Amino acid sequence: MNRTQAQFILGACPPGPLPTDDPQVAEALALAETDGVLAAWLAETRSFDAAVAAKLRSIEPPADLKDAILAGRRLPAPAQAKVGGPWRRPVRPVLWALAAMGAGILGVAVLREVDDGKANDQIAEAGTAQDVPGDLRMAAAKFLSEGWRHDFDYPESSFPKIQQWAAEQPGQVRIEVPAELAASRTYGCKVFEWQGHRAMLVCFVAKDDDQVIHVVSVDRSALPDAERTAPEQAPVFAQVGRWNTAVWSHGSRRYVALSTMSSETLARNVRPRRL
Amino acid sequence: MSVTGPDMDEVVAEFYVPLYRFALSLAGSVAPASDLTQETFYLWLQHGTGLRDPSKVKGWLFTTLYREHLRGNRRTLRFPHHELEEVVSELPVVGPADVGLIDGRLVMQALAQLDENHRAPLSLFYLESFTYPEISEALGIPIGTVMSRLSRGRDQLRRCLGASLSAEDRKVLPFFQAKA
Repeated sequence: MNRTQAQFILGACPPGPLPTDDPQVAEALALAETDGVLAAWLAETRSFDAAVAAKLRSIEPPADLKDAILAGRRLPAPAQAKVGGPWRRPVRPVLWALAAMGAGILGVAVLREVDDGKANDQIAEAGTAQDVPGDLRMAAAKFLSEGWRHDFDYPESSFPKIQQWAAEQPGQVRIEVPAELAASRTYGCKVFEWQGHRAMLVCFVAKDDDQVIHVVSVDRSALPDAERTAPEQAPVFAQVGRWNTAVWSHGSRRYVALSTMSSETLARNVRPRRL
Repeated sequence: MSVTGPDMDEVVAEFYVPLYRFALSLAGSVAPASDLTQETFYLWLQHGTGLRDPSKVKGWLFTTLYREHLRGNRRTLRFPHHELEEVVSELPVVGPADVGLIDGRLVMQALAQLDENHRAPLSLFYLESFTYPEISEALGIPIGTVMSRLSRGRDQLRRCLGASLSAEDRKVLPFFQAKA
């Protein structure tokens, strides 16, 4: 074993005690005892690695992340998950959008400044509340089981192109969003069935802080009782768990926006002044 | 482990913090890292609870998170980014003492600047003390490749940290200059 080989072996040992019972490591360490350059390199590298590891491990996750994860398992689970293509970030927001529609638009629970636990309880129970259509839960489960692992129908960074694409699809899904959002970059869109109506999800990247805003659009007739809680071009904001949401109506569509950004930033992005 | 009940609580309690840190090193910012972490546990509920061997849970979770990250990258690849290796040799290097002065988030930012091939193994190495065979298994790359990527990745990280430190220094204006 030469010095370079020893450096490769010792450099691949993670921070912490060296595994001296590994024959290769033991041989490399033995070489370091007679090779001053190698010994100095080892001491400096181990010190660097330990410092980096300590710094990285000092980073804490968001305070509500654990609760959000645990709350997620209480959402309706698909009975038979089908393996499909990749479908990433929009999954949970879509489910929560559906839950938010139930909780926010249908008036079951418009949540303002409630604690996360309570909010998540209500999300989880939204599909079983008596005055929420039973098929809301079915829609969520259906989406999870069939659609959630699918990729965007149209991955595209330009919202006008998404609008054009949507208009060309069977059923001509219409989606119009406030100017601030419309000028934002997008990741793509997904069209899916909800209660017999075509719904559409578009994932935007907010211009001011690069966070994602998920917007679900569904036909107004899918939620006929929502006139009061989803006013025309005047978003109603509510915090649902870790999500800040906004619901509004425009033309023939109702919209739900969800993001983990602050409610103020979300409001800036969905304000209706230039609809 | 079953789908519901305390076992899921245990899995989340034990792994959500390291998984989040790994996700943050890959995704680069809080929101997508949180989403990646949540999604990994959701996949665990769907597919991972059938694991018979509890010792496999950790590897399963980290591998799954990494794969989900790669899937997500298919969309973001359309947005241009700089290849660090093109400029890395021109950046200054930092030593252990310098690292001690740097905020953890700055170290994470430096890690996030590395190219994908080096960032993932180095993250597992530093965040979870994965051995190189464990990294090889989690990321699906040969052991020899892991070792060389760790070596090159460490060099890149030193230089990225050096650049970060230089940038931080430039933010601090001498009093008379700031006043003027």
